[in-house]
Amino acid sequence: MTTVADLHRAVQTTLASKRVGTPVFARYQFHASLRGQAVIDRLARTAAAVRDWLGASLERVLAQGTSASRHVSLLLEFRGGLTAVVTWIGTAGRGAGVDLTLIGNHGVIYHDAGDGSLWDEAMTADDAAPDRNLAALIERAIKSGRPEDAPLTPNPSPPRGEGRNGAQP
Amino acid sequence: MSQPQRYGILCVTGSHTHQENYAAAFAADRRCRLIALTDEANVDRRRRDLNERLAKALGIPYIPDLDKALGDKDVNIVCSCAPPERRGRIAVRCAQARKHLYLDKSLVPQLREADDLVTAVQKAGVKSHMFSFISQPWAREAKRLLDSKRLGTLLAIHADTFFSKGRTGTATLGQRRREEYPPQRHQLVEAKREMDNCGIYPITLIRWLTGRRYRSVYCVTGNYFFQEHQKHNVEDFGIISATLDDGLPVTIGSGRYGWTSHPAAGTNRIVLVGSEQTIVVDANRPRLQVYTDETPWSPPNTHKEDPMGFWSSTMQEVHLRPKTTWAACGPAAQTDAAYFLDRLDANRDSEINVAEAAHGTEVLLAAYRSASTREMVTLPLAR
Repeated sequence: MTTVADLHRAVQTTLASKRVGTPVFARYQFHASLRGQAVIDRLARTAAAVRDWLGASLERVLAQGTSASRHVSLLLEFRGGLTAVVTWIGTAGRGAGVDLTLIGNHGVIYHDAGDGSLWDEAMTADDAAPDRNLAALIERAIKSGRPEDAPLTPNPSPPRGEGRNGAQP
Repeated sequence: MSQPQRYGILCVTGSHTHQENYAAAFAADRRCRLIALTDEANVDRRRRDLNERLAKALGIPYIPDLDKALGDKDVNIVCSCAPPERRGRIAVRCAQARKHLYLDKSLVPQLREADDLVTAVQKAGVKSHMFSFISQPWAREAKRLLDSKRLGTLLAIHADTFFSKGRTGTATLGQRRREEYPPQRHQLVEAKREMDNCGIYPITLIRWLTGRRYRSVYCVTGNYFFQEHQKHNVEDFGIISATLDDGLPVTIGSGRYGWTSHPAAGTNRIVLVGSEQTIVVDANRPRLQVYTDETPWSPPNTHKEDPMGFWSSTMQEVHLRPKTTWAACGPAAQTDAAYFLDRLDANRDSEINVAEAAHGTEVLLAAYRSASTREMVTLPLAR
């Protein structure tokens, strides 16, 4: 069974190949039957993955929805003007249950759940501890319904041997 | 039995506008007869040459004075693709001449122009329509599914419209775009405001699908892809997070992301999140995927008068090849022009009349204001 970690690794490998250039926007939508803090934790892990793909620190979050309403959507603003939308949906989705469009300035990575096979099951996510600061920020944004600024942090450092957000080729 | 040609069409503006497509759609409908092409009397030489070029290609006269052309009693419908900065006042004059209006998108760039046009159309008692996706089979299917209540309670809508045109990778990255309000320079030779140009489709579609008006808008615009947009200080990308008047959350992505970023014309899909199930309606589904030993598709040479591939005529001139990897296999689409003619036949106004389209203008303006202030903007905007 493919896991979310498998998908994220594949995305990271593709980004490292520089075929899509510098990533500038991500739309990441996932379906999972979760409740309460588990929703926040999964959103935080996903937002962290997107942050690492974009290679820029998070500046601001606007949230819509609640775990009780079985839908939360985050508009994430990163340093340098990069953006992402991360959405959790509490009902079952198609195929593996993850839709991803990651747009770079030279190309796009698509993972369309509609391309899944009939026997696909929802991807399983790891249960690693999320970034607590990020989870707290998301929780605050959900409660306020207003844009919430993130504490200033440096850009995430790229994995060894992989440059990101570099100069144009 | 053939139908009589009962609608006389007056085209406003010519080549290097969407009139190239709209006039062709009306000409192909046997209910219509193209009468003439016209524009304001004081247009510059380049615009006049482009107008005359399309008039000649269509085999109709060019009347270089809008008011004179509007005096022709054989004209029933004006199809206007005037540049954004001129389209409001032109549409008002056409309504005052009691002509039905078929209008390019988006409606107008400024709120006062939208209000004036709505008033003029209501006063004249004419029918009106702004080009949109609503006549597309996939949009109709989304509406049918939503109305069927199969989703349960609607929880959210997410929509993306990205155009796969232009040579990307030339914008300088690293700085957040600083948006201006009110927005200026909507349509230039080498760049358009893409959130306006592309985003008006999902904005209008969501309003049409739900019957709800937008209540609040938060927006970020960007310059991710093209130096042309950056040079003219217009965005090539926008992301909107909004709520409708019943509190429904909505996100909308729109922009132009380059010739080779998609197997077809670009991403065009809407996600309807319900309490029972989620439905993804994709303009590129259902489809055949066709792989052959043909020469792979490659972008056309850049046309100096149209580097972003806005117009049909310029793309013919640089021998744009169609993308053929994906082949649509859904029902054939009715033209948007035919939709409007059907409504006129039934003596009904369009579902995207100027009053509806004006709400789209208001949402776009709220989005630009939000992007400039980095704050959430509540609708309706102050008059």
